[in-house]
Amino acid sequence: MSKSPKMKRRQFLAGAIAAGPVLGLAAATNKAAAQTPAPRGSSVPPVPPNENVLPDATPLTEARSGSDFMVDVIKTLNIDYVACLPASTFRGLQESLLNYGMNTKPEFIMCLHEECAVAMAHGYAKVAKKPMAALVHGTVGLQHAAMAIYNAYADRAPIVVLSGNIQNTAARRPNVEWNHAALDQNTLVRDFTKWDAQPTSLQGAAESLVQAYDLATTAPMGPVLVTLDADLQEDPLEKTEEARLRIPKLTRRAHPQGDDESLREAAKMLVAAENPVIYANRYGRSEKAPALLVQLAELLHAPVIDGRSRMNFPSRHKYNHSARREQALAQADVLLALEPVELWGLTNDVRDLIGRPNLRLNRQANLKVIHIGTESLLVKSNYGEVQRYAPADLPISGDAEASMPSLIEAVKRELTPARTAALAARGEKLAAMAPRLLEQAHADAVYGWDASPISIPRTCMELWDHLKNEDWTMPTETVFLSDYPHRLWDIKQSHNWIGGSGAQGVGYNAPAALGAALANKGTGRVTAAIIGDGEMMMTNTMLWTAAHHQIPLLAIVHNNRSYHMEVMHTLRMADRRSRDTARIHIGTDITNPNIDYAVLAKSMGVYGQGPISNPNDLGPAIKRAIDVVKRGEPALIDVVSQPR
Amino acid sequence: MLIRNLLIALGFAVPLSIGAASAQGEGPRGNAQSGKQLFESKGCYSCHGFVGQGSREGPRLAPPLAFAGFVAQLRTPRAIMPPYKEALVSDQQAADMIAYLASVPKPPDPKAVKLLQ
Repeated sequence: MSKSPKMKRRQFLAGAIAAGPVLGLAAATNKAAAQTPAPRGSSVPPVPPNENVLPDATPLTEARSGSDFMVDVIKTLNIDYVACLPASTFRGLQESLLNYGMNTKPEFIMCLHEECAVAMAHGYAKVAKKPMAALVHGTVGLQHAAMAIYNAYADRAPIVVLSGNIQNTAARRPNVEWNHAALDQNTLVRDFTKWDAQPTSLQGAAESLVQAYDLATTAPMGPVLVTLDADLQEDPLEKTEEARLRIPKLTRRAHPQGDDESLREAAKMLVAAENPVIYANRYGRSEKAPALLVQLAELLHAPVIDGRSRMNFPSRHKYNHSARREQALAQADVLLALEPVELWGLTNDVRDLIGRPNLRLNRQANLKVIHIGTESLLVKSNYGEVQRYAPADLPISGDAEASMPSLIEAVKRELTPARTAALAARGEKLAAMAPRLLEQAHADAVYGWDASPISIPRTCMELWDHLKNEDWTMPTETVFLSDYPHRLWDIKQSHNWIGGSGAQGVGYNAPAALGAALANKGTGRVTAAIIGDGEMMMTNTMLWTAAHHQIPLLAIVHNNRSYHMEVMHTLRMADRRSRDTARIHIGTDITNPNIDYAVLAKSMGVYGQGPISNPNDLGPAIKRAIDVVKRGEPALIDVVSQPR
Repeated sequence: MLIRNLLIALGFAVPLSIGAASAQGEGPRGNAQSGKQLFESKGCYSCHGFVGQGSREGPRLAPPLAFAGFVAQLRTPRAIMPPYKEALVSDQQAADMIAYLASVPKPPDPKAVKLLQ
């Protein structure tokens, strides 16, 4: 880009701010010096004139800047929102988004922590089925954002992360701008982004932004990072230069599919199997995914085990046998693993005992494993999310959902009338088990039904009573809820549930739920999340964002007043060593004082209720909160809960 | 049946439907009040819930097993439960916990719970 002004704008500003008071002082001092001869023998030399005199031609205003062009590029990507908190390294872009872009497509969503901004984009992407942007400060903001980016990477969620930097060392003002700039800041998160760029020209910025979106949204998806240089953002954009700039057209590519020959082989194996089992984990990428898997399961009359990294399969379908996972897997002679993430763990385990013994799980000796997934298509070494190597008998590289129509057709071609009848007989036996699984869940749920602290199934069912007649999303992890939502609720659609954080980095659930609620805003869907207290405290500033932007989210705090996972870990160590268990609460419990989450919510403008310890008070509280949410506002209920 | 299967897998080869009296029949007489405190202070609640209702981390314990089975699981647990040796939980304390678990009110019939219909 043109550098025609003799001194660049950034240098001018830096000089003006730093030298202004000094110039005035120097002039006065020089005048005084001219009138009063220096004392003979003085050791104080005269003050030299300022060496960097500002040229008269230095422009003070500019009509159009590089960041305006960046906004032109971003607007071609159909990004609805950008989550951020303000920062100097992208001040040019921020101003352009607000005034040149008129704060639409994307609209600013103000967060108070970069981790919230990225996690919000994470939750949004899984409901909206498209990315939003997160704009984070250079270096320090990116450091804050890093854990949330890691979660999104491990969860293969598309996010367009934008950041700023001042590449030109001569343009950095002393102190802060040096601390907030880096030679290669993207290296902070390169281990867990799908792709990153630090363009050095506006044309490069245009291409990087479009390429970033393209890569983020093509399976295997993932967060991408584009660092936009401050000079590129802030320098004037001359008409002659702009005439040369081109914005690449975003064209959408098909997601990679498994090859036809392998899918035919998979179909043969599945149709011939006596006890095939389908395991789906990060399979459900779009709204179509559950219906496709239902079609396959009903063709094969095979049980489905849902790994629950996405909404893969209706919870009450007769072939959803997730509640008898180990029994089903133990009987399998063919296992179809769809985006399993942890293929090794389907047949093996490392027990949490002294020495961490490895063991082969109870599986058939003749078990054949078919693996369809994109795990091998996005692999990095440093962090362990790739997990342990496990060879499949038939590995198929390709997006499982994209491969599903071809697999279904291949299965249909393999089915003879006789085989179809045989499979249907198997299906009847499987279908007969399904009601018993729900009955067992009900039987388990009633233990502790009236207890205080309130039991998890009681909380889940009090909430379900208000969701069951709505279109709804429950966007938070259910592992810490003993999976009761999956066991008790009728989960049918892709947006009902969106999986977990990916890397279990604490702090995901609250802002991700808000991102999901943002995606649902204006649709009539009710977004209701159950969020652990430790999670909430990590990223509770999302409450302010919810109130500020009027994002309707019901946040129920599962308040067990501890980092309970760590209570169990510390207890395990004390038990193993036969030592005092009384001290395990030191450094794990969140008590003394107890946190009042309703007051916390109110302090940030969110409707808050609680703490609620009596289970009979919970239903009415949820009713009141749902009314608030239906008015378009956020609400929080603090529920003093059983641990799990 | 699932819980029964799970308990059997964990080494509890005893019927589920054991009343409070028979649950304590083989060991020292327990004190439910003391047992409640122990159930919390020894960390049992962390996997099994404050009223022994069970969770993803550990099976339901109420109503409790007989003393012999309960203590056997404590001392040499099957599966991944950590061990509670005599130094951590004495036989008397185990009996107290059994008494507590036996005192937990019987849950409602699922068919009578409106929210579960």
